[in-house]
Amino acid sequence: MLAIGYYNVVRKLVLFIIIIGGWGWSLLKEPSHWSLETIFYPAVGEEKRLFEEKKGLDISPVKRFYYNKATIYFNRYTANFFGLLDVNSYFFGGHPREDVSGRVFRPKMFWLLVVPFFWGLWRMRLGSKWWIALAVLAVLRNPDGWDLIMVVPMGLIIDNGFTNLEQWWRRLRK
Amino acid sequence: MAKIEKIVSILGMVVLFLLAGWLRTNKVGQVPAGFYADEAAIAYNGYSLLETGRDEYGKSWPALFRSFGEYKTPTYSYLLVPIFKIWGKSVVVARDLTVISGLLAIIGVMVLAKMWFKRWPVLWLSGLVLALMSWHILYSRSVYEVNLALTMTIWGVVCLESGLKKTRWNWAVGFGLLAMSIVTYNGARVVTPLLGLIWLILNRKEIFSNNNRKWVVVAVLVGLVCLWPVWRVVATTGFWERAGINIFNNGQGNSYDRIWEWASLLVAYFNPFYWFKLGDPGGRSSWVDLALMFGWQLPFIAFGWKRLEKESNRVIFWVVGWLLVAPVAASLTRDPMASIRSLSMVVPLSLLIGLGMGEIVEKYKNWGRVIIFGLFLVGTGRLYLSIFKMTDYYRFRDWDYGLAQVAREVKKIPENIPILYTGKKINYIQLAYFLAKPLGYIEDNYGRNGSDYYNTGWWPDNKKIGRVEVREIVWKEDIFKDQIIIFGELGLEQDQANEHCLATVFEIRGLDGKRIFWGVRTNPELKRLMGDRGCGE
Repeated sequence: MLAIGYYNVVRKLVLFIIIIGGWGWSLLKEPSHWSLETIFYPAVGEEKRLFEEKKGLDISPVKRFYYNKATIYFNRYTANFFGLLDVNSYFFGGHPREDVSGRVFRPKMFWLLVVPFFWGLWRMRLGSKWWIALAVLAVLRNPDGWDLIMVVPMGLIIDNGFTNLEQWWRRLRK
Repeated sequence: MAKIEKIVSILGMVVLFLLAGWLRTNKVGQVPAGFYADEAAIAYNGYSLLETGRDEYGKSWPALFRSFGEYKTPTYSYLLVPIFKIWGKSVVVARDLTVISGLLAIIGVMVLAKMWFKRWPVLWLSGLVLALMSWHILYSRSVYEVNLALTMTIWGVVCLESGLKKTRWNWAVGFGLLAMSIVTYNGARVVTPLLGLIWLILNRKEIFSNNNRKWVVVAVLVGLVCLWPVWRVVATTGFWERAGINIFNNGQGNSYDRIWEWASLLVAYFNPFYWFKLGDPGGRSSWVDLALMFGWQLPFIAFGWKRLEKESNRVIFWVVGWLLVAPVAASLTRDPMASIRSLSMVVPLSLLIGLGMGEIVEKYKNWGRVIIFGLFLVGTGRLYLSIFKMTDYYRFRDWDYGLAQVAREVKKIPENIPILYTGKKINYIQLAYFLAKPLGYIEDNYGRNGSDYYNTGWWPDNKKIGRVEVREIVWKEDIFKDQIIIFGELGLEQDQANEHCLATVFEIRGLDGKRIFWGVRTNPELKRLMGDRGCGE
């Protein structure tokens, strides 16, 4: 019992060092701006032009609901929110999508950890506090750097994945 | 009470199919605007078979269509033969087959939901999710084989599953449909056998029991017979042509790099960023401002995932298994999140979202219903705007808009004047389709089938459709021939037209008002007279 407890602690520690180490190394290699600017900046250039153009394509009342003053901020917010859930950006530096948005992509974790990550999603609840953290981070114009906070829930999921994999492997051997 | 519920159910069914039908049939000939070359090739070969019993190369009833050298699967073109015979040849009629297929897929998913989850709300909501899924709507409005194959796969699985409880004959039908899906779409060659394997693993005891052996033999025989078009060509390079695009065949770097790349491509298919925000980046693979699913469906996937744990291992294995195998073939190609090749994912995703919504409805009763109704209403408005108001304006070039109008202009030109088309070479097929010429129109193609039809992938640079030549312009020669030359959007500038004494015959404008095709008449005598000075303004 003690041995299993000791093993679990060591495993979690090693995992924590690998994840934090990889993520930290990526930040050292390509430093973040750690900007606290929010998405509520005025639209200019192509963003504004496209918005105005789309507004002009329909005159029905339906359009007003989807293309109004809040639309640009909503689009920026959802881009950030789902961008923070972009698994490929964490494990593959955004590959296979080429970066066109100006967001910074860096591989933050060793890519093979994606296997226990997905395995860990089974029977794993991500607490509401992490969803709230995501929702808040998405308000930032560029959450790069601040998304380091995600290291905790992702680490927990990966750890759960290793536990599930281990159980599965034991059942298979029996 | 029971009577009222029955009436509500029937009314709900009517509304669901009216909505699904409207989103798939409304302006189906005009949205997407244009008729892309792949669509035209499938439709043209169907028309050619109807008229002559041969394809564009003169090959009699082929098992694969050489088309642009990539060898298209045959089912869609063959099904168009009787359809064109009854309703005539048009873009609407060609697309109607995929519309019907899409509607049948919705019914199939509802049947699967009923069989696996045994709860009415899940049945309704899964159907509604698929009916309003932009991913599925896109391929239910355009001539692609994939949607047909998906419907066959869904109903194949329905038959296999229902065969476990009802008549075993359903297994034969199921095997037949699954085999047909393999004949219908290349990607199904990987996905369908894997789904069959899931069914086999889950039901191995029942399948191989003494009582059922004869039914299994019958089902396998039916499947093998339905695979007949495949047996005809399985040893040819044409059959394996699409396999050549996988990253392990033509990737760069060493094995480690390729495995890394494949892993990144595979993960993209399970990435919420692609599902809810980015979608498929291809111009013909998405609607403007719409990803593959609505962002608000994310929590319902999470609820559905949680609820799935309470289901039987059998159901879990089916749903998770389907979700995992659906993008396997797609992930082997280099396109990130190729929605067309991974279309099969819409089935487990619809079921998961439906399951999650079902939880909310059962937990919060009327409030749950109101919330979900509101979300679907918001979703329908979004679909309406994107599909019918926005996409054509931004994507008409991707769909090769304007070639039907070019063909109309060509028909107006006196027969004695030769015509040269210098736009995209691949557009020859749309011109052939819209000009509807009799056999022999694609003269450079016709008769070039020989014994090597399935092996050479031969595709000539130049085409001739009656008097219309399709090839690159040779400036030094073509402006000295009396003819009409048709240019694509970037093919000719006004300065060049002046320099070469070219007079406008017709112009086709795109939906943004810009000129996308320009038909001009040469004036060899004047050009010779003016020489390099040109003809001025």
